[in-house]
Amino acid sequence: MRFDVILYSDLSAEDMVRYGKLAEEYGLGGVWIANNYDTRDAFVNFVPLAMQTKRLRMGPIAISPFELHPVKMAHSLLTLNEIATGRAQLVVGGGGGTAENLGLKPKHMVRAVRECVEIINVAITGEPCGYKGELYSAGWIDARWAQQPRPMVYVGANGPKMLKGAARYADGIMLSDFGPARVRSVHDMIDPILTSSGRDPASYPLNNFWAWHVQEDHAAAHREARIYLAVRGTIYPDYIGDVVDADDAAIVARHLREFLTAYQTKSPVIKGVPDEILTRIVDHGVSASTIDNIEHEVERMRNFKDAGLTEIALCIYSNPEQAIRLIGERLVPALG
Amino acid sequence: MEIDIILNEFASPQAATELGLLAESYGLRGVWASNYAWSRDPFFTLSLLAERSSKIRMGPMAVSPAELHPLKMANLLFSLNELSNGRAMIMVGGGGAVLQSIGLERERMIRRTRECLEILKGASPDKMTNYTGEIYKVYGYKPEWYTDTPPLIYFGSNHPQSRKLSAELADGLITSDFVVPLMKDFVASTHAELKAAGRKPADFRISNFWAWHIKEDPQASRAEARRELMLRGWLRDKYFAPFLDEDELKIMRDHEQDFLNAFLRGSDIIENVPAELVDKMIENISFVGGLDQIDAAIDTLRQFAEAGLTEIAIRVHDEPAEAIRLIGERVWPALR
Repeated sequence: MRFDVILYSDLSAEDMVRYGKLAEEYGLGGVWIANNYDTRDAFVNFVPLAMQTKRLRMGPIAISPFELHPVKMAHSLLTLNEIATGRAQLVVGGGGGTAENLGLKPKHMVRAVRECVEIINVAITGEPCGYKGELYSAGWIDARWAQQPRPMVYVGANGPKMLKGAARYADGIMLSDFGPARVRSVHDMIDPILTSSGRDPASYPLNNFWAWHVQEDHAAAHREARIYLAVRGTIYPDYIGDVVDADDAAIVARHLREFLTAYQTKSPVIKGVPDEILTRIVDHGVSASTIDNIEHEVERMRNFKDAGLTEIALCIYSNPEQAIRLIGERLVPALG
Repeated sequence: MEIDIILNEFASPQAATELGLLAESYGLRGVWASNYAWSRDPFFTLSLLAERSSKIRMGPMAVSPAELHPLKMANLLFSLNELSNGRAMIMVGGGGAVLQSIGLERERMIRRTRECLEILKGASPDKMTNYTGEIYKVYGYKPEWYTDTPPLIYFGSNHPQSRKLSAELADGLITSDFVVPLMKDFVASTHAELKAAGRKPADFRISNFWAWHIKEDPQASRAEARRELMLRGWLRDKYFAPFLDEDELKIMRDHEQDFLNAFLRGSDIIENVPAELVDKMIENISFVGGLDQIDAAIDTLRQFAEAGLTEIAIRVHDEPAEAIRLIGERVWPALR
């Protein structure tokens, strides 16, 4: 299984070089950066790292066609890919925070993502041609200058429609916050589609965005994890049932605003939600073990691998250097 | 008056770096990367140069808010600005071939650009931007990392409406293919509009896109100029009227397709148009000929400076390094 890290999106290019080089040194597969509306451009910020690494893959997660026209997205990806000599990667998503901050209301997300990936795929071939979709069109796509090995185009997908569509046209899929059982159910959905198009489901790139808060101190790890629960899928109605019973899920649902407040104020205090519920969510929905109990996380990753993930993207927070070293020293040798 | 170089649309990031460093070595002010439908992303094209240079300015030319949302444009521009330690610039444009290639219409150009300039100029690391325009919306934008000297923001302005908008909101404007007599009138009007907007003309930048074809081989120079002639002022009367008579203008208009055919075929043969007329056109609206024409070019540049340009943006074509060397070694020392 390939291990990637997702760096937090407010890093400077200089910091990304530092952490990216360390990730490469420790044998990690790739570095992702979350695309936020008020951070440095998620493509351009990779340029210095691309120049100073040789093997590491890199790219933003996730860009929506509602915020950036697919032709522009293709050119950004291919130009980064040229600088990175074929190591660029991208997750195309259906919406997200950036679109909201632009006052956009995405519609027909599945269709939009599909057309976007199709346009990018056309550009990647380097053969000049046009594209006529229902939502997007391009009179003339011509990227003959793009001569490097093709970049990887993932689709960020959690729902059945997006997952099934992505299996037809994307190079890979990135899930988010899925536990092993859900990963298995994804395979049930996409494997027949992959098989029918002649692709091997076992080697099809299936990644999962997973939060990594492992620290020396148990309380510190849980505090950090609680701050970010608002942006984890686990607490929302479709997923909370995986980790708590119906009564507790109802409590969580009534306090979603408090989760958001905690995230916005970077506070671990989530008013109105009992500690035992929060602990259960953190224990099951993210990695927040102590370092001396890292075997627990190795076992979790083994379960992910057995469920069919070919790669995992661990989102790291307050101490990126320590996290990269730990992943490189303990997870990569065990499962990589 | 300072000198900028406009690189051709085929420049790779590596080539742009070499050419930009060459221009920097001669003390030229800046380089622009052309933004074409089939070119690499111009922000990326300059990102390597940003890292490796120390003095020269750089920016994309021209980017339309219709092709790229102003907030995405801001993050790209500010990222390039950070990589270059405050040396970025941009020419915002109304939209041309890129828009056509992605199937979008050029509509409400002035309104779009106004909102784009307001968003770009209003961005601050200290104050949250909430902008509700007729076309664009931005909520909660506060790029805390945007702390370098702000980039220079130009608007590509060939007409009174865009000129007035530039005088109100931009750091400068850039005309294209204006011969000296046109430039004089345009600068005078710009200064009047700046004063009306309560701004000092001395603080405002005015540039003009001007084609350079001078080469050691005069025949090759003329061939290159003829091939590109279609792009000079898009053959509109306004740009040629200062030096062509009515009959000549009519021939030019009647044979627009012949000029276009030459450009599209990459040919220097403009069928059905008298050679003397073509010669007159290229000699008056670009720098053309052998090395013996450099003194005449310097004289024209002095006239541009007297007309009130603060810089000129010289578009180089084939053999760009050789053109930059000629400009750096022969032209710039004479103007400095």
